[in-house]
Amino acid sequence: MAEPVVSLRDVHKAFNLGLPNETQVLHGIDLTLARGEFCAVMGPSGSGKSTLLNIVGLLDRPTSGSLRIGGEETRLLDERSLTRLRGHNIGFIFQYHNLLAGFTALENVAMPMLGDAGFSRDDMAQRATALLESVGLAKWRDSMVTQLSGGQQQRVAVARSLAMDPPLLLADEPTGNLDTRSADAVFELLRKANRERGMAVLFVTHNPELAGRCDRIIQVVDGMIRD
Amino acid sequence: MKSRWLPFEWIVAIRFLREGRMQTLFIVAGIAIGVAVIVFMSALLAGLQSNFIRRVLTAQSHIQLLPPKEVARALGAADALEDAVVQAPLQRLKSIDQWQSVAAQVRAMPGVEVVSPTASGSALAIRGEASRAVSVNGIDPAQYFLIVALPEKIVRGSTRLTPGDILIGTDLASDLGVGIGDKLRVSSASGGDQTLMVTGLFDLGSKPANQRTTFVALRTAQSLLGLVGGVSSLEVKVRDIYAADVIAQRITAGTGVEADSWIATNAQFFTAVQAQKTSNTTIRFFVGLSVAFGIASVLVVSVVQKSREIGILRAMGISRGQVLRVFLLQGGLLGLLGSLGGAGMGLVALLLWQRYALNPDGTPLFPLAIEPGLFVASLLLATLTGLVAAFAPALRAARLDPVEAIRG
Repeated sequence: MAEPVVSLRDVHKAFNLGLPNETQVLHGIDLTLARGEFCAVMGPSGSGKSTLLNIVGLLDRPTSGSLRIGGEETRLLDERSLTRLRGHNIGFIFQYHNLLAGFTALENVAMPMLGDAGFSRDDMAQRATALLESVGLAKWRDSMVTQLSGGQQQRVAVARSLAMDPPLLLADEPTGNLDTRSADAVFELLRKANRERGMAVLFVTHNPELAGRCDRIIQVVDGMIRD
Repeated sequence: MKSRWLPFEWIVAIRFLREGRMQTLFIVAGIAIGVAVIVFMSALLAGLQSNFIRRVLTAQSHIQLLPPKEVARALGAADALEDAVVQAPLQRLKSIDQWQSVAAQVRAMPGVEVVSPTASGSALAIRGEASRAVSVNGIDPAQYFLIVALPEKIVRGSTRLTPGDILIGTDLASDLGVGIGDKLRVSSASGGDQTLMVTGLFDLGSKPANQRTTFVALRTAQSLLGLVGGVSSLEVKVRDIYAADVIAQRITAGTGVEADSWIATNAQFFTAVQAQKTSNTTIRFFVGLSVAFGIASVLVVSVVQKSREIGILRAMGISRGQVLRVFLLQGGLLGLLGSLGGAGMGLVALLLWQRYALNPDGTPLFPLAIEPGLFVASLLLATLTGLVAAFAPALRAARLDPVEAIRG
């Protein structure tokens, strides 16, 4: 059996540990995501969805428990190794697209490759252009991202998340700020990447219709998972 | 297409600076003014200093070796006579003992360029009924002119110094009413008396010097002053004028002959030079400090403004080291850009100074030291200051928690 892309075992997360205002956010999360799996994460605000995504995305560390990315246990990895693992294995899409404002669409998409020594300049340009084409924005490749509409910006963010061809995509309410048509377009792009590239996707959403189109839905309630 | 892909750190650093356009513009202008002040002040003070030194060393060697002074001693044991009064002895003109071997020894020392023997003493210059007390300096022109650039001071006649020739100052010539080719009787206290022909008139830039100083051939002076075969001093020129003090000490230790450097004989002047240097360094330090604080404050603000972007970059797999380098580079680039502007402004100010700060006769007030090294040093120093100043903000940026940063 193939190694899961992500595997969490009994993951706990507490903030302000040991202080009077200590807050337990995640309570023993168990979650496995196989290659090619498209999983919706739902739950009320403050239930711990974003914390879960930050932990899976190696932006935050669990207080206890095991997190394996591509079979590699991350608990004992140092900051540098976590950064490398994140850069090569995880693509992020945020609710507010979070593009770099002073850069063009092409530069935003190429940014993860630019920060990695493994790409030649020609490769970067070709790859970023192809990704912009795949999200229908080839025409705007040299436009500053601030000149694009919200939907277009989120499509640039999708293209950027695919730049390193990561096996895992983490999307934190990427359609939450978009109109129905743009939200649908962005979801379809993620679905396409999931099907064509075999990427596993963890898709946080409040939209039951979009969640219903995913392979699997998990509910995060009070820091615990209910499938 | 290819050229647009600079290394990651460069692209992001340049773009961040471009985004904060006004901020960047103001701090670059601030750095430029600071660097311009440093460049202008340094060149001005270096020019002033070299002008002072040039004037001081116009008619003086770097080191002078003199025979030991005569000391009177009480006869017998020191405590044999109570309240013995020992009179200070007269200092007779005398020669440096074994001066040829001493000169050879000094010449072989590191840092020494030229050693020239001189026989100097007082005499009367007489022309008809007019007479003037003068200082007779017997020199070996070939060596002495390498130490004191007398030929540059000749305003009439030549530097010819055969045994029957004498070079005198313009004011003495005027006092005695002599010109080139005229004869002058020179008589010393030791009984020496010679009639010499004036072959050159010089201007040392000082009236007292022009009234008293005369130059004759070494042998002429030896015979006039009763120093046959001897010399009253050895004049030394060294490679590094500021090392003269140390070399003089080494000469005294090595030869046993008293050696005075120009630094010791012009202690007051040298103190002024040192004070100038210290004040210049102090000004540079404080200007550099204000430049550093300016850069640091701009970058601290930039880190706050760009924290979301930093978080995004970190989420994309950009390492802490890369974020650190982005901000260090910004500091370095601000320093470099500011210093380029400042070097240009400083140069313009110096050229304007040279053009408009003139003596009444139209010559420059004093020559400025506009050296490429000063500009290169300013560029390097400002860039380095920028890098150092950027370190704290850069560290802060690198340590930002990406989750907090993205959340804003």
